Amino acid sequence: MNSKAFSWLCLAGGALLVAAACSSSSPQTAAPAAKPAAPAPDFRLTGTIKDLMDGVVDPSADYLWDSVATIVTKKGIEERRPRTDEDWKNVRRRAIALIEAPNLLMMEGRKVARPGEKSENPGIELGPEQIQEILDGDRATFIERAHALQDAGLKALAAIDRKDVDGLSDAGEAIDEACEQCHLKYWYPADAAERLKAGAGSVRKQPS
Amino acid sequence: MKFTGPEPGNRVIRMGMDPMCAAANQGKRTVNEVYLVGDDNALGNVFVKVEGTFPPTPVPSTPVEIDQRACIYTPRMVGARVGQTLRVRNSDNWLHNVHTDSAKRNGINQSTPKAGLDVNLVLKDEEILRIGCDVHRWMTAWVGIVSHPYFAVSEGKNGTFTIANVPAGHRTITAWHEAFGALTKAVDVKDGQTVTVDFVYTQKPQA
Repeated sequence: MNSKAFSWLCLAGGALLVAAACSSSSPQTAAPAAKPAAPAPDFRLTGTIKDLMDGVVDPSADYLWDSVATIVTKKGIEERRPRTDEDWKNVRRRAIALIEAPNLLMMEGRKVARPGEKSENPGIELGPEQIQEILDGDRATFIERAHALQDAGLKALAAIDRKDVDGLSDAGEAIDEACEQCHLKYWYPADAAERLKAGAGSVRKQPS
Repeated sequence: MKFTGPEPGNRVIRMGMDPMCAAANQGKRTVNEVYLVGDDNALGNVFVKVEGTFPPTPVPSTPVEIDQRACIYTPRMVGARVGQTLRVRNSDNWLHNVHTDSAKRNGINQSTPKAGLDVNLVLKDEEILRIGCDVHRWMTAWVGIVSHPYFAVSEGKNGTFTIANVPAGHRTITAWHEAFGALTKAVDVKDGQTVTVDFVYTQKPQA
């Protein structure tokens, strides 16, 4: 090693030390060895929000809602609830799907619907382009709503892990509320406006 | 009016989200009465109407009434004429609202914050109209609206219905149930005679 090379090394070493001192709150800690930057995850978005609603969110929520119910017939009363370990395992699978689905919904670039898809009930619900516009104009609110669904799903998961039938039923109401609040924002907002006008939209109570 | 197969059953409503509703139904298993089942699989609350247009007849001046009582709409299924008034009364001394899901011009969304308040809606178009309450989403009633007087709602005990004074002719009768859906039958109606039409739902209820 010649002297010129040595002085460059010293300079570089000094610069590293200065950088470490400036960037670390703990000057005693040695700077970690620099790792090559990880490539951005190569997500391959295939389904639309509508597809995910149809394929993951809706069937998962339906499964949870149907898992706890009291059914009355002329023959008697059927208490529908998870009973065996296998029942609870199946309900748990659906809760996990429901909790993770919002992560898929929130992914940047995920479109509301495929090109050309139309509203099934024009005039009552918004069309995909309109929903997309609202969503793109305020992603923070969309993320907030998606997190609300996750929170409700987490309540269900906690109840499932406790094997708490009443807790699962209450979580079902919270899931219903999260779904409805998001639908009122993006799917049929005219309904929300009407509800507020009627004085009912602001008074919905949380499950007791 | 009947159905085949096992009785679907009605869900007990969890009213825990509103302590007033829970208290009003304390000690009862109040169900969401989608299926009003009588003897031998008889099905009530099916709206039945004759299809077609008929010479005009006077619209009743008395309103068709539905009650919001103990957080349930009663009755659940009624028939009414275009031009007739639908009156929904709150008999509970707490907040409900009356919110119709109309694809036509029968829309209304009005709060009924305390007992004794009425919502009056003059019905404008034919349709099957759902009435809900946004505060208590289990609350549901249905109104079959037609422009003529030839309609009925089947009885809960034996599933029977009677439509009087149907003009003679080849007629199509439609039956509609909120979960089983619609059935139609053709009948020949003759002057001064009674025709019996049997409807049997065999398909699975709609989700």
